[in-house]
Amino acid sequence: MSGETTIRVDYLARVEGEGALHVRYDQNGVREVRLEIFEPPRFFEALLRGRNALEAPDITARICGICPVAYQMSAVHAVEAALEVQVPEEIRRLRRLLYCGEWIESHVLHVAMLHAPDFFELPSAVELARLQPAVVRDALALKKAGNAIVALLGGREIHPINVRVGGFWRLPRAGELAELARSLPAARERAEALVHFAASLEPPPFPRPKPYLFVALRHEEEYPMCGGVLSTSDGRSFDPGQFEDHFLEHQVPHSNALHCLLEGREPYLVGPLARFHLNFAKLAPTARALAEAVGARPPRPNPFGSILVRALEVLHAVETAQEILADYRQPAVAAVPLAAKAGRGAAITEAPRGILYHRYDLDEKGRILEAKIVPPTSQNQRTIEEDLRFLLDGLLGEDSDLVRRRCEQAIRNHDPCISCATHFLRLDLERVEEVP
Amino acid sequence: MKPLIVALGNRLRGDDAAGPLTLDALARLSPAGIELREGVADALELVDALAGRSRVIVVDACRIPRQPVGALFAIADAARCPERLAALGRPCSSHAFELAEVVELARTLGCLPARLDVWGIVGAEFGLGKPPSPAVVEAASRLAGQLAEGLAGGDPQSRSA
Repeated sequence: MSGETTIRVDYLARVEGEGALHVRYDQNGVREVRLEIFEPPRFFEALLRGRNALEAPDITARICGICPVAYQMSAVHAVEAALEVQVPEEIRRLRRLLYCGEWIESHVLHVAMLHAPDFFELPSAVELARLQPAVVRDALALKKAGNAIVALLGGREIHPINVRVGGFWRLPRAGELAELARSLPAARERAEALVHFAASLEPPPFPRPKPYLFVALRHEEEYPMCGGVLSTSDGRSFDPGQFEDHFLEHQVPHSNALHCLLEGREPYLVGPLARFHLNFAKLAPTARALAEAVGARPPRPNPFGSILVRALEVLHAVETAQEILADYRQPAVAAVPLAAKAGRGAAITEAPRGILYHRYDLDEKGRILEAKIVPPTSQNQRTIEEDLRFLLDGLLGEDSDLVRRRCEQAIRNHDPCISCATHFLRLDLERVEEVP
Repeated sequence: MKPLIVALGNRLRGDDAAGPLTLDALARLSPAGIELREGVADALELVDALAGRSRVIVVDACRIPRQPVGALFAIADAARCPERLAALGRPCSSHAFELAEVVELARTLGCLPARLDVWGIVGAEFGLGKPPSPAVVEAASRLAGQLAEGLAGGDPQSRSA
């Protein structure tokens, strides 16, 4: 007997999309870890070529049913950069409000329905509802509040259709916004309760020997959503337009999603933990105060504790939505005028799962010559594999069911969206001359 | 609260429009005292929609091997037969919740209506942009008449199949 154990999880549960995990280890250590993403490639970048750039927000929104707003926000900002268009502050604030809705929807789903069951060794939210009915009931109401924001600003909850390059197709009416504002105090109470619930959970110990390299946007005035400087936890910063100079993708045999490494060699982490570490001081006041009260200041390197950071970001999003609605000034126009021109534009926004990069090259008629999209899950793959290696080092000799569960949880810690990550697979054909 | 009829399905995908077509036909019949709701983008919102109702009917398209297009399929008092609901299949997204899970969640949270019926109309063509089959359009109209008559008559079975 070799003493070697192989753990294979053929279908990862409670993560979006189709992926598998392959781990091989023996008493001496971990031999192999592969996060296999076998969901077929989706070729969105190729699909965009030749299309009018104004279609990019609606086409790319279809990449994901959980974070379509993120795709729309990165697309509109990138195309506006290419067309050298600036939108008024009032439009920018409405976009931020829309993004708040998506953060609430996405994070609440993950915190209460997908991640929390792990802390009680339960298979799903249905079983969690038996144990913690108030938590699940509140989460459903909170998610509905996020849906309402996206439906009002975006036209519908999933794959919104009201976002356009230059602004919106239709501005919300004052009465609609007032009704939304009236619904948010209850959402805020529920968000605070969600933070207390998440703070009560005991994450399994995870002494990661190598600290995370966090990457997130940093904004001078705000906790980042729609803009800012790309920053790392070791002090580097880049303009979003320089992303491709420093963040390099490459293919690995076991995944249909490209791996992305900083400077081509350094794995890094994007998402709530990264944002929290790099922007803690910019959290909305109640969220920051509550974070302090429950002892959740950075550094919080244990990824199993990311559930608390997501809950804090939910509270932050509700509070930010309230602030935007309280100061609302109707934009003079729903969208600024646009003129087609050739150019290149890139943008990064903070999707719920982390930075989402879009770049478009346009011809003089505003058609897309080339598109590049780098979603958060693709960027986190290597770091998730590292997490699994470090985790397994501490679990050698444990029961294989426990090891399997912990590994699945370690992946869910980062809420990966595999469907987002597989829309690009580069195919290089090399013509080889026949040898006579 | 009024009885609620929820139609699931996409009008743009051929026979998947069976549920919304049933609602259209019901709206033409103008049955009094019934609330109609089309499309639930987030299935979890159904939990809330079920709460406090005495009666909810869900209508959707379905595929059943060897059944003709337009055939009606029913799970009467579906909350009492979770195994039949569970057999309806998995949602297309792992972040989405299927009807059986929604019903279980509603049961656990005490939101189940006194009676929940699920109706399916067998379809065959679900391609994007395709029109619904004539047999599905006819079945939707037939089902609408049946539901309106059943609810108007206070028949809790609504002439279950």
